[in-house]
Amino acid sequence: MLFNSIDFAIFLPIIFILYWFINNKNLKLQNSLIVVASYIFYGWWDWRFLSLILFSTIIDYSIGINLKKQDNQLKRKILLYISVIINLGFLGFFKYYNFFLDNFITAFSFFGSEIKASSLNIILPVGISFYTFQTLSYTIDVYRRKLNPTKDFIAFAAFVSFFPQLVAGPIERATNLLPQFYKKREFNYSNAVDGMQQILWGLFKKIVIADNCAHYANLIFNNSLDYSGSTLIIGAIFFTFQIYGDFSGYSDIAIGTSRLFGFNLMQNFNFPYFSRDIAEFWRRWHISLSTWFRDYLYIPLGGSRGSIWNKIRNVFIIFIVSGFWHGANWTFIVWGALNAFYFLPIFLTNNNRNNIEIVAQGKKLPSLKEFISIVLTFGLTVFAWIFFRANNIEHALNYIKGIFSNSLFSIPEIAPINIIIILLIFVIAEWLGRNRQYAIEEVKTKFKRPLRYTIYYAIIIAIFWLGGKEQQFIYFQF
Amino acid sequence: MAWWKRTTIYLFSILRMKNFIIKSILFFIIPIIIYTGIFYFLRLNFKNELSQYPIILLGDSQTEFISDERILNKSIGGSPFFVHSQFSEDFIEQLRGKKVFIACNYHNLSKLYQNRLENDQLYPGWKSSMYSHLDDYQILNRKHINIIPKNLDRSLFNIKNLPNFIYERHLKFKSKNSLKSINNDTLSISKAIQRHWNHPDYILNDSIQITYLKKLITELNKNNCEVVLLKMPLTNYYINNVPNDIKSKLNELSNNQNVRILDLNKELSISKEYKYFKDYGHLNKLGDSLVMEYLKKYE
Repeated sequence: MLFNSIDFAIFLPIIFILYWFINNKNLKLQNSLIVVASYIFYGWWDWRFLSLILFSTIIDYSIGINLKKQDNQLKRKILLYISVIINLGFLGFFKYYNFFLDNFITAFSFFGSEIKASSLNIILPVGISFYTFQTLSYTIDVYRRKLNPTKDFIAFAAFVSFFPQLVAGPIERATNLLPQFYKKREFNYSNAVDGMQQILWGLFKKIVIADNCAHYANLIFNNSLDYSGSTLIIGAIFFTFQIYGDFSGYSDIAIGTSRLFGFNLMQNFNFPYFSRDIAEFWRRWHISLSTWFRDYLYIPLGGSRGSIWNKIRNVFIIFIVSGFWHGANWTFIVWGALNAFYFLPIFLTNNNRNNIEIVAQGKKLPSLKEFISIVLTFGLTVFAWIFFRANNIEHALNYIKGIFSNSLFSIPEIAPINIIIILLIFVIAEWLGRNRQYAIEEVKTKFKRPLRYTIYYAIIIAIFWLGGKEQQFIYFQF
Repeated sequence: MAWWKRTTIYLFSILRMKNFIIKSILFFIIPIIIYTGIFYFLRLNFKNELSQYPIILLGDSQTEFISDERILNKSIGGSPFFVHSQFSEDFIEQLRGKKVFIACNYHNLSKLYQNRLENDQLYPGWKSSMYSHLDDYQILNRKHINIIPKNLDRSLFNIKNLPNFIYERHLKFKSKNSLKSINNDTLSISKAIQRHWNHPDYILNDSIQITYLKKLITELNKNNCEVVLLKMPLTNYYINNVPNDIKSKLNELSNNQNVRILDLNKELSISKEYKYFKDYGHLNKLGDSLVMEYLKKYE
């Protein structure tokens, strides 16, 4: 079920009313309703893959309980490996099987040996990368004794399948989300209004920003050989906004929906395009994934400790794995590696934590230096997104070659003024709200009712009026 | 926690929740009621307006700027007979017994329009614009299963229907025709000829146009309307290049359907005077004034 569909617009109020009216007295019933709703939500797309979620839930639930009982370190390690192998095994099979197979065949044929093996027609289960990482975080935290395993199977099943963030995150930590299933939730009017507001902003980002940009980004990327360098730059910028609107819009809807049900999810995007360097960008982009890799991969590898070569190795590993997480394609790996190259100079010179606070705090405009830093960082990001969006490496390289051609300074063939104006308004709104969790968070408290409602209705009208053709959320494919 | 505290918290949360639900419903319902109210008011108004006019003109881009106190002009560029057919179905009560001009010219029978419907690349956006006209004056879009392909992604609700309605009825005809003249630019006329007639199977092959023109005429005849096919003036250079079988087919169509043709080419004899045209077949303001003068006297 898509957040931007009629199905969800009907589903959400029904579950909301059932959740608060019928089950308000009984926590177990409330959690059971979440599980049922989440399975319906997921099964709407393809019910067959519900078995995967259920299997993963049972395995990690049982392993969690056994980890608690077990004091023998070796046995504990074996239990952890079982969980990791099963979870990553599913992920590897559904997401990476064909990629590895094709690359093995290519590699062997390069050395003169022919291998006969055919690819499988595998459907990638929606959200597998997200819920796999979420359940893994649970097992690892229990293994590290940071978290007590739950004995409440329903609460655990609700944690694994919680529908607002099941298919595209934020990837919640068990330490944050699971305890919320044990506590009685009280309806909070202010939180619910805030949730609705965040859902509205998320829908705006998805339907108005991402879907409109998608139209032009697809047009330009799919016919990149036909366009001038200046148009190709516009295509890359449109994709930059598309992926941000799409993914952060989804996260806003997920967080807002969770608030309606009395849950608090972690912030997943913190105005990343206002970053002054790449390190700051990565602290603000897909925060739940970056911190996941930091805690479960980077730090166990040694993090920033050790020799310079270890540091470089660790940075490359985390960025490349992060790229590979997005999809089984060399383009994602190159995208990750490119970001590692961007990051390394500031990391090795200890400048990676220079910009912790949001830019121009307490000021209306950034300083010239800040502005230049933002533009440069944005430019680097746009360049890296070319690899992310391209169909393959050759496509990306041709695209870049096309940009740096004689036609770089020609008048672009495609420059939709209406979309550019919408993007400008969007950037201004994001800038004004950059101190908050999402751009329009302050509307609820800062403005009096007439202005507040004018803003809400303006956004709703914009969604209906300016909305692009409905597109699938990009991150569903990851 | 004491039972009374728990109960108080519970009751309080229920109260807050009900408040939230009621406010949320009102938040959505009030604009829906306002939108629907305005829409139905305008629609009722339009029905009254339609009832008052003795002549209805179902036209295309050639008749877009024709205005007369006796004529309600419903012209849509692109000669879409399926749109007019839907319009007559929606407002047949108001059309009953009236004189109805249907703008119909040679190019309306070219396969050009069917090709555009089948291949969006020929004229990007034309198809969706024509489909959206099917629901002019409707709040919710309908399926139109005979016309619109099932796999076409079309939303049930289009917020633009109301502003479009207001534009169509109250703003559009305030725009004026240009004074631009084609002079002797036969090259641009040749391009139009190429566009309309260069397809190998152009001849009467636009099944969509023919089907819906016949359907429209039949429906209007059945409701005692006096149907007249209005043939607007064209430049003589263009007329000379229209295939002969198309010319005869238009006459044949009017005979078979038992409708009159009002041929303004013959009546006004201006096809050689290019100062009245802004392109191959669209009159400029000067040309339109001649047509309006003629229609004033026409019974």
